[in-house]
Amino acid sequence: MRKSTIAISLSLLSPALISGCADRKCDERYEDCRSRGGSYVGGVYRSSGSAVHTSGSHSVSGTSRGGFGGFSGFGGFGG
Amino acid sequence: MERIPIDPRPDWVRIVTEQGLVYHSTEGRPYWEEEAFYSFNRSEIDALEKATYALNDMCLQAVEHVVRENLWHRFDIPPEFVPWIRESWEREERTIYGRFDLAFDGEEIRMLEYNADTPTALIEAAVIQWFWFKDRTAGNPELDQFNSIHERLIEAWQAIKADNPDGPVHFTSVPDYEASAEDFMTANYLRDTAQQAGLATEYVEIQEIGWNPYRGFVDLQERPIHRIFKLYPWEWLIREPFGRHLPEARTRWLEAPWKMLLSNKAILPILYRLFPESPYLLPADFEPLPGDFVRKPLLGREGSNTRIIRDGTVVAERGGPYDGPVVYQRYVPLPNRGNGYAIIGSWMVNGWACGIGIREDDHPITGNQCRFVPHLFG
Repeated sequence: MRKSTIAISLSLLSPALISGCADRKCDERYEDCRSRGGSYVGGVYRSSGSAVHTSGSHSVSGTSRGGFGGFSGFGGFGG
Repeated sequence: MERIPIDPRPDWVRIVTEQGLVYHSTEGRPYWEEEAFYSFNRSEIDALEKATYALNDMCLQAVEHVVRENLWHRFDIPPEFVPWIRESWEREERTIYGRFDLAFDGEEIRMLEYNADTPTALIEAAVIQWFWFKDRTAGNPELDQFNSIHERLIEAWQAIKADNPDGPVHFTSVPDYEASAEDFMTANYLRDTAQQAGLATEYVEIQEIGWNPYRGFVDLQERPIHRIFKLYPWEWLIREPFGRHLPEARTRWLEAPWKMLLSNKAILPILYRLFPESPYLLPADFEPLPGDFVRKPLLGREGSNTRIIRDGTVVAERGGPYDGPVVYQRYVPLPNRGNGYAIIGSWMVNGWACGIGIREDDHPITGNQCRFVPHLFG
């Protein structure tokens, strides 16, 4: 099969995502725009800050975070 | 293989942006280059497809060889991760995708490297050039494009779903949209194909992944992460603070840990030692080669820290953040028809050679400032 045989349908790469979810009303860290009739599953578009955690932080639950992502200060890496 | 100039679609920026290529330009110059296209004949496409299958087969044999012969020291992989990587290979953990970068002059096909862990240039290859093809050829049955990447991705996720029907699959990448829109959009394109395969998906930014001593890796809602696709290099993950938890965690990762052997350029000399007669492999070694050669860091990306040495002189070089061990590969020039050095990215998805994408760069070492040029064949 060489040629694409089905119509490419992109649901997540929607205008809302591409334009930056400018109209979104949900809490982008926790909520799901799609379930509100939007088009993009949340928590994802834009970090509330650009800081990258380089040392772990602990919550009451015993979960620590920030132990990955330290190299992301490089920005994109492509492949 | 011809490069044919053509007038771009007048509203191409709007078109490709709406299709997801928000990173269509780099520093004011189009990254998506539709003022030309590459035209192949059918035998050239057949040859590229055949080469891609052959290379994939050799790569899998090379991984088996590394595991069996304990050649881990060549890869600069910390020894504490070796049993875990070995286990992922012996368990035949799934892979989604990879991209072979090939030098092709219309006759010989030579593998330059295998982007087996975090390949990008995916949306433009799978989606943008397909819509371009449909727009420009208007259903002409004599013309075709080597591109079923999108369908194969959905099939790959369907196989994941068969293994893990309850999901969800998490996706993660570098979160900084401004700095790395390509990574962010690529991860979300893959997520899109997973959803089209019927999988439930979630996204968590790479630095928001949590470690809980009882539940293992968790998302922001403290849910255990059973399976996660990461657009983030393995060599970074294993060296970060949570890397030490990777072997003990039950989380399954995509790409699988064993893919870090193939994304590491130490695989190039090993491939050549195993298959010196292959028409698709260039001589490569851990020591400098006689004649003209390229010096590449084991873990470099986007051409960074790569040098071309001809007659003992560095004739081209790219800087970058990658240091450490290097390999040497015989130099073969990329074709240049006056518009840049062209490299072919040949996609391997779920065991299928399923499409190509072509990038041009003004520099003989393809880097981040390259341009993507669509193709067709007939």
